[in-house]
Amino acid sequence: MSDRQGWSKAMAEAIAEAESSDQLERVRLEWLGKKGRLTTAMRNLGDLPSERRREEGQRFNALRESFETRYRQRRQQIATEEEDRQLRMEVLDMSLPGPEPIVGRLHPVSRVTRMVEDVFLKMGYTLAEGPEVETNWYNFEALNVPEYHPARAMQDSFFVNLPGYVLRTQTSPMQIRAMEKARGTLPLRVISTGRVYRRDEDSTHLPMFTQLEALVIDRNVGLADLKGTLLTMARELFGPRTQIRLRPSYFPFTEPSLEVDISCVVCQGRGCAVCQDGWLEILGSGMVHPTVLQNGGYNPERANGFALGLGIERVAMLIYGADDIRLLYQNDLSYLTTFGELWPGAEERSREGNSE
Amino acid sequence: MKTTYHWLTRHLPDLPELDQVVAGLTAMGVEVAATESVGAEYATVELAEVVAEERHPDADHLRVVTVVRGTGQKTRVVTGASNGRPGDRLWYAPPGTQMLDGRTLGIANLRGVLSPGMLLSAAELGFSVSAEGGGEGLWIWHGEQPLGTTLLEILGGVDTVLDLELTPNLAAFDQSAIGLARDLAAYFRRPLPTQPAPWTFGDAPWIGQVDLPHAPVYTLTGLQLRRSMDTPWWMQRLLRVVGQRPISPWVDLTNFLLWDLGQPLHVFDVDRVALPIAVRKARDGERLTTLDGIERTLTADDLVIADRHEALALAGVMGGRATAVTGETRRVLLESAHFEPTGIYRTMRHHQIESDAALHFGKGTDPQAALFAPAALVSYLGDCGEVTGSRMAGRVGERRPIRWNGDQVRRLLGVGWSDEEMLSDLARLGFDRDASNLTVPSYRPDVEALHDVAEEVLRVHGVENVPMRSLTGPIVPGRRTARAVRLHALAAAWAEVGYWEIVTSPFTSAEREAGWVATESATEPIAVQNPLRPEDSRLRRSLLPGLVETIGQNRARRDQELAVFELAPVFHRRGDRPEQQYQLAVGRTLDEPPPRWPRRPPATIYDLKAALAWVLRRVGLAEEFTLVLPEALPSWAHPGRALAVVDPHRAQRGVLAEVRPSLLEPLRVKRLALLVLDVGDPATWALRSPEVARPSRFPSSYRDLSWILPESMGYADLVQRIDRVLVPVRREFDVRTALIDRFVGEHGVSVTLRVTFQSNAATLSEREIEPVIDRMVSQLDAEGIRLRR
Ligand SMILES: [Zn+2]
Repeated sequence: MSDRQGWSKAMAEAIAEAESSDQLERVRLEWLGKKGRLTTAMRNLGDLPSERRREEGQRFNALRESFETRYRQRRQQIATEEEDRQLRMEVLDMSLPGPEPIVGRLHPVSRVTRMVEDVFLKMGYTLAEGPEVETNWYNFEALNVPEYHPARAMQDSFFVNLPGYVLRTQTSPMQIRAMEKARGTLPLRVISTGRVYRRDEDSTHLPMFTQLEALVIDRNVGLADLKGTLLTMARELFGPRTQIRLRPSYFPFTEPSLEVDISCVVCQGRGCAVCQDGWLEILGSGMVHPTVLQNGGYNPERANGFALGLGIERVAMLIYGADDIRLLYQNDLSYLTTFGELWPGAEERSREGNSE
Repeated sequence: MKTTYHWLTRHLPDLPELDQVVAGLTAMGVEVAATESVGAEYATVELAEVVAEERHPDADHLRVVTVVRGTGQKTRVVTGASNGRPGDRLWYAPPGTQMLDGRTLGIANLRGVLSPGMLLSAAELGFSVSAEGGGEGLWIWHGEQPLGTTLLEILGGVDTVLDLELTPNLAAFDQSAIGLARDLAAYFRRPLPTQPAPWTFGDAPWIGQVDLPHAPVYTLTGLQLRRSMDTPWWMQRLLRVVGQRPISPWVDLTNFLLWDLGQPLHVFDVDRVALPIAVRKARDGERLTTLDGIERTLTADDLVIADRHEALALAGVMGGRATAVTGETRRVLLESAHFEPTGIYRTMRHHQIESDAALHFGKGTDPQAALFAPAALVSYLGDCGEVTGSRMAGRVGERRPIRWNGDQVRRLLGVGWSDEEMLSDLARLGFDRDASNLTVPSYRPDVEALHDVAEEVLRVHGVENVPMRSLTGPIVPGRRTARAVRLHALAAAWAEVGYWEIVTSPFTSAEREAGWVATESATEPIAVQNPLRPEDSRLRRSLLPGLVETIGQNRARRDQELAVFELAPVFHRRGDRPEQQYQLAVGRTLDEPPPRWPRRPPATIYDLKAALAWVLRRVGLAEEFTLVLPEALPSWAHPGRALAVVDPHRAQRGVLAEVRPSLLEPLRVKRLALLVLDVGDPATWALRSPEVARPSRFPSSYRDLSWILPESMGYADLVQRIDRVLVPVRREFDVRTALIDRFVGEHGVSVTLRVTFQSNAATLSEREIEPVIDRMVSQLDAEGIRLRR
């Protein structure tokens, strides 16, 4: 039995010396295989007297457990080493690019339109629609623009070969359509977005652009409410620090009329190449003209309203920091694909978030 | 319009600094587009006196003139002018002077004689003078100023031109220096500018019949010049800096008063007029050659000024050539009138004459100005002029007063301003109040009702003083229309499958539509009558031309795979009415993608087909639009690679097809798949949400089965027959088929399907699966579809 005194050490050394799964397996067979030394020794225990058998049996079991523990640890080690060896042969040049994922997106103007709509929907406005080929009545006369009136020249229109129709020059015809549909009920809060067409084209104008029109009619609506609405809208779109500036202006369908500037999104109103004086002209608005209210079936003695018209492309340019409005509709994919996620007023917001 | 700071000070002395004036104009609604300082070029031009002259030694047409300057210094200057003799006082520009034409004077060597600077003519300085002042030659100055006085000092120093943008309502009262001065007076709380006293008209028998509804005030004043005169220098300079060329006193004075008082005036050469004058509607077809030399055919809508024989002028728009004054004209009839704006505007538009007079009359003018403008003009003639008689027809109508209602103004503006405050704002603008009525000044033709008055209160009181208020009342978030929601869902789904939305213009032309819009069955297009370009002369009936052009333009810029779509309205003419319908167009290039690692195979029409199927399922339109083999195809479609999209009534609504390669040559695209689909009114779509199936907890099993199809059959025939076998089975458990391979071998088309079995109740075993497959094999075999072993 003397050589068994060294078994524990011999087993440990054999396991530690095994360099591969195969070698380790051979060590296992040598000790624990059918004819393994330990297996054979344990099988032979039966020949011993019962007292010795129990004693020896406990010793062998301890030896076997010790072997198995060491064996498992070594097997795990070897597996890891072998996998490492294998993986080192599978090295990739991780500096290589991958294939571009196949993605598509909505046009930036579509996305901004939806975003602006959402701002107004949240404020309780409902979406309304109107046709792009509009009657002269809805596009002009009903909006207080008679045929021979200087205001018609403000919007050079495209005429079509259908008597009495014109390509709508503004989304304002929606005002009349929405009022007609509401049949005099109060309050009325509607928006409408869509393409409008004007016959001019230069670096800052396109013959086609997208407008959002908003209309509110109620018993006690005043210019002060318009002001509040404009500020809310501007801050939703351009960030919570945005300021607005109002200037008297003229639109035939509103009176008083206001031109609305926002503090420049580029320089925060300090003055830069984009804005010159810190302000950016963003939309036109005003109190609905009594004639328009009447044409929509509302009594101007009993109800007031305000309306505003916002150029979506302008908002898109400001939010994205793009500078050439004409590129938006050239549909150059290498341009359209550069527009990222919409983060209106993101810079402002993150700054506020950090300071809190 | 343009005006200048100095010009405004003529009406409003003590005008604050320029930047305050700009702020004031902006606050009153006048947009100041630009400001420009003018006059620096006159700072060095000084008065000098000729003391000697001699011939140029080497040039017959040149003289060497010696002038003495304010400093006493004598300077010898070469001149080509023949006037300017010893004793004459002239304008001398020393070297360094910047001339109007942009050049800077130096020391010239004129045929061997050095000449520092120049002696100047009036024209070179931007002025027009009579023969007495030198005419075209050197400007002979008759003023008493000491030598050395600069021209800038004479003109009152440097001035600033204000370039203003006026909206149509402002044009009715702010299109003149006095109008702007009135607004500024209100803004700066100064007294209103005074206007000249009205002229007292006489009884000269010069005016006959007058169409008073269209010409409520019509006056003529006879004037003559005793001797030739120059338009005052300050006036010439103001006219020039606002863009009017000084021409002759008559023209300059009327031009000046137009921009000064806002009253257009006209002068007739009295010797070419057969009095009396009538103001009447033109006869249809009557002819008149206007000042611009164009012979115009008039209509009964046009108001004319006529003499005994014929029309002399288009009233309020443009004078006639035959009675026009020249620089020599001494005797004139001055017309000062008030015309009804709409008629003037219509004539202006009809004849496309955007004259300054029409742009004033047509937007509304002050009828009182017709009465005081002649007085102003006569005052500028001074003792050169003489009034030979005058006559007035019509009268200035009474303005209907506006009932004051402070509550209504407060409600409209949402302010708490008192009546006193608001009425004092209005008084600053010249509004009078008696008891409960407001009298509107005659120079505010635009103010007709209380809401106009509210706007005036707002302008003077300041928009910035209106409080910010939030709309009150319960706010329920608003809704989109079903149409808008559904259109967005459809577009968003295309983006999800990797297609980019494009937005093209709705303008197209017959040429651009050719080949893409079927001619025989197509409806009438709507024509655009005033397109910007001939290729934009109609509204699109299909999105395809725009989509294909976009693909071509992108390919022209770079080789790239393109997957784009547009969802937008197309337009048709139905009788006398327009019809607007939404259409979907999708395009996918199928040619080899540009070389790029890792390599990707080119797309096929099946990519587009699968994308469409996915989108339709996703949006819930799988039953609204289905794909079938087409009965008829558009001419652009590949006859062997096309499907029709039909609605539940089997009506064809669209086509999915490859494009005939011959059509693609101009596009730098070899293969292109297109889908065009008339989606109808999204509000009426019967949407069906895809069924959400609970996933089974039990494992699935599958069998891969390869079938050889008879020549007459396609994939759909196979699937249809298998589905028939599976109908009863599917009541028990779920069976799905998926195409995993297809090739053409020696026995024909071989199609391999993976048939997947799965149950919600248990793990399926051979016992359940094998009989299904056996049935499938035997039934398909009966129809000539063999299982490949
Ligand atoms: Zn800026």
